[in-house]
Amino acid sequence: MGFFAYAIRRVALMVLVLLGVTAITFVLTHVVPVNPVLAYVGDHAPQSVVVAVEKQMGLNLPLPEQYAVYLWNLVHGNLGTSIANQQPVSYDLGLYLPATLELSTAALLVVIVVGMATGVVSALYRNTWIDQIARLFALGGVSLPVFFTALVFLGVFYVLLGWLPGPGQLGPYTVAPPHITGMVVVDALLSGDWSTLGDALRHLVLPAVVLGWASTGVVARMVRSSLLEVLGADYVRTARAKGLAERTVVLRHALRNALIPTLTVVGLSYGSLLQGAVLTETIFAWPGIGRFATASVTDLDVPAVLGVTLVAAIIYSFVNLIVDLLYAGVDPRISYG
Amino acid sequence: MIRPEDAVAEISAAAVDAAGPRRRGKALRLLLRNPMALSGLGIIGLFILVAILAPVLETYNPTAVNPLVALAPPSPQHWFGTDDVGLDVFSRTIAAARIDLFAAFVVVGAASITGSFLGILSGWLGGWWDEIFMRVTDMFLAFPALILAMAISAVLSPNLLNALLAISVTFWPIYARLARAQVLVVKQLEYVEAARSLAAPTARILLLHVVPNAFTPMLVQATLDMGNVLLTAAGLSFIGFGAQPPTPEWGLMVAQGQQYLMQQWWIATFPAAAIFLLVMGFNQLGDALRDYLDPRVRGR
Repeated sequence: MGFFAYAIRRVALMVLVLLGVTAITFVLTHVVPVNPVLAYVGDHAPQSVVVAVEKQMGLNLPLPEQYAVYLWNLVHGNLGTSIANQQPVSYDLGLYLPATLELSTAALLVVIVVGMATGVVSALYRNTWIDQIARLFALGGVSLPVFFTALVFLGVFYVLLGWLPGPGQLGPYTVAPPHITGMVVVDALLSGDWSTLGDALRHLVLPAVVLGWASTGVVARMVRSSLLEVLGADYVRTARAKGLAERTVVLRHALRNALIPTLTVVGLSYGSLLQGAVLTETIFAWPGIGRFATASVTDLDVPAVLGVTLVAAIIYSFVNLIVDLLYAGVDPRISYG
Repeated sequence: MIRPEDAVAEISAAAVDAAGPRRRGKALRLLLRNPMALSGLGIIGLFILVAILAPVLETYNPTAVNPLVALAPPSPQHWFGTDDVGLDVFSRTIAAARIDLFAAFVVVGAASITGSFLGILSGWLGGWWDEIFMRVTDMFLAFPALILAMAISAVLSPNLLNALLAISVTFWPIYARLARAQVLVVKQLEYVEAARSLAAPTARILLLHVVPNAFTPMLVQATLDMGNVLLTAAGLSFIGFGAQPPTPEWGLMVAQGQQYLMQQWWIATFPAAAIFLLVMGFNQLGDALRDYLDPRVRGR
């Protein structure tokens, strides 16, 4: 079948899944117990007004048609209007999305680096006290509620020790860099604004570490078990028999093959990062879609919440698409026919 | 055609199946000597005990406000201190154990039973139905759990029961896939083919072969999910969309104590420690179960 045929099929699958995702969010818009028309015109409006508004909102159409209208709007980037600030939801999301992407990418780096290091160390020194400590560290990250970790880290490293700055993406006296991507670190880098870059990075450290720690355990566990499995394989015995240093054996031969299942887990952990971002952003006053979601849920701003839900599902689907394609490209054992 | 992401689940499922019942029994006995498993079981057992005995162990009424002793540090009178309205943190923490454990069991129970039923059905029917069902699970799995739960909670009214419903909706697809993977493996086994050619009733085949083999990976998943559900439920309550005051619930208690974290640290720390310990217990048990019941890992 070949890789490209698989890729096309996989992308088609993603489109189908996203269609289903929109169906689910559409159902949610209609499950709201409050009648949106009455919420708009009030309980005492005359019937003629109610009927007219219903027609204007498109609510007198049969459901499948309403769904078609919904899809049409989505494709044109219309995610509805936020109840809280009367702005288009897509406008708000565009404003806040870059900050979340920045945070979750930084956290992903933490997950990959720390997770792999922990997993490799665990596998190499398996069943020794080093292994136990590494596993405890990973277990701790996965078991601690991320909102508490965020509060504690903020309290210790900012309030008590003053080593790192407090909530927010930038300090109160730092001027934001010119808007190129919307991601403050990237924009500062691109415009050569080194002091802003430093400030942005210092603000990024704490939330990224908190968010990343929560997912390192899953990756560490996978790296450890797949590395252990690989280290028992024939070609590893051959490499050792050839007299290669243990380090070369592990890093050059074993690790590369152990990375394949790890890739899948890293992709899956992006979903945890998106969830964790909701809580982390709220506590660190990080201006991302996670904090926007929390504020919208508190305001019962349904269009905004569903907008975030949809975007989160889309991002996650894309990440998994990339992981699947990478996985298929990298693993020579998978065949497609 | 096997998709890469199905391969992992199905290889594990097949490997476990190949282990057979006698090896599984031996594995379980070995498991009970594993310190991680014992630690996990011990922690879980302790929490269950505390939850059951909560009304007896409480030193104060968990909802009895007493402003005179507000913000008191841990002392012989109030073992975990009091919060900003004088509620006893110890009594609330153990009362919350009931609610949180109950919530986790209900969600995981509902999700696993519904999910596995649908998964077995889908795997057995095969063909187009199976393909369509797999796409449906993909759709639900595309949503990060907390975010979908938030959306459902925003649409329905914010209370614990709706939160549990919302969380169940996000957790069922995994069980459907695990159950389905088992059915696919079993369908191909020769003795099942033989049984079917002899017109053995479907239900008998399912009960005798699919369910026992599916049980193991699902037990691992359920154990690990208990921790995840607890964290998700606590997270929802933290942002105000799970349990409502004055219900004692760990996530809610952390939210109520967050502004006092630097001075009156006990208000948020004890409930958070409870969450941490219990989730860690489930993770330890789940990890140990997974290690012992997957023969590929056991072979070292």
